[in-house]
Amino acid sequence: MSDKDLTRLEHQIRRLLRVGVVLTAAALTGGLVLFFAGMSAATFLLDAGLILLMAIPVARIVASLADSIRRRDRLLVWSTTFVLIVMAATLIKSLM
Amino acid sequence: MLATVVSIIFAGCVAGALGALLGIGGGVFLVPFLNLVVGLDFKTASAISLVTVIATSSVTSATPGRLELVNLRLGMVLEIFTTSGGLIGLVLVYRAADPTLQRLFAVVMAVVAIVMLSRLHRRNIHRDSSIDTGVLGGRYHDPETGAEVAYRLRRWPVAFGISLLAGIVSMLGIGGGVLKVPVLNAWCGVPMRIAAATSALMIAATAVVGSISNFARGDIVPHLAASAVLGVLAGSKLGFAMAARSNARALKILMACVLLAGAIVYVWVAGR
Repeated sequence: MSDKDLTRLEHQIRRLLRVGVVLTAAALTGGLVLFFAGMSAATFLLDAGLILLMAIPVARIVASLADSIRRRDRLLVWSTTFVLIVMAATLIKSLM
Repeated sequence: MLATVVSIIFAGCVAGALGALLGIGGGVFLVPFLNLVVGLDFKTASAISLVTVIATSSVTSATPGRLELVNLRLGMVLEIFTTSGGLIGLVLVYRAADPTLQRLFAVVMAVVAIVMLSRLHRRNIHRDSSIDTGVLGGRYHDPETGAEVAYRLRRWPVAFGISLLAGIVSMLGIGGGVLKVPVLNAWCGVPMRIAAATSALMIAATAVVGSISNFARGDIVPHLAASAVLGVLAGSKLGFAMAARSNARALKILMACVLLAGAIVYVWVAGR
């Protein structure tokens, strides 16, 4: 595991976190404003913002998985896959 | 309606700032506020607080200098246990009645207070940089001493066990870092900064598992959750800006007292 590889993933994750937070804040602020304006689009924006927020860690783990496959880091491939399966299973069970 | 939203944004802001200043998540303050002051039922309060954990985690980890301290390998392996614990926690929380959960939360508040008081002088474990870091250890550049510090994970069953427990407890609406970080530091050889930064990034994964389920159940009221998240985002930013100029020691003692008082109130409320 070289340092260069790791910082590349770190850069990806940082960018992902920043973009995710900004988009979430924008959607939630917009949604809240529309909510008080009594507009029906509020529900969509609020839900979108919350789903976006929940997508940030998922995207971070997907990025880690892609990186670990590229570096053939088996321990990380298995651990990221496991966590993604737990998330997917929760989603599927919740939707049923 | 507007008053509720404004008070939740304010509470989120305070919780976020305190979290950033004290180095703990804000959930331990936010849950009782939403539950006891705003008057939401416990499950709704903890579900909203859990969503804000994702926000706290993301904004904290995106802060300059934080991600360099994260041990991504260790974090990912421990996430196996925190997310599994989260699943167990969800089942327990859904089955338990509110007074039971309030009593449990009182215990958590007391533990957080004791941990805060016992760790007023945090210190890093310094080691020879030539040691073998093992599969889950790592190296980092300590900004305080300028030296390279190497560490390896010791007593891994303890690390895995505490992660599982933290995952279970986090379903009460907190991140769980307050349990993991001291144990990883004291017993597993992980330097304080690394344990804190790694935990801060990890907690979002557990919070997502809980939030997906809570969202589907309708425990997350969108406009209230949005208010809390926006408050926490603003508060965290504020907290980081203030951190350089604040007296962490005095604040820790004060907040430990607040938490202990809160725990007593919770036990009393649950007993009525």
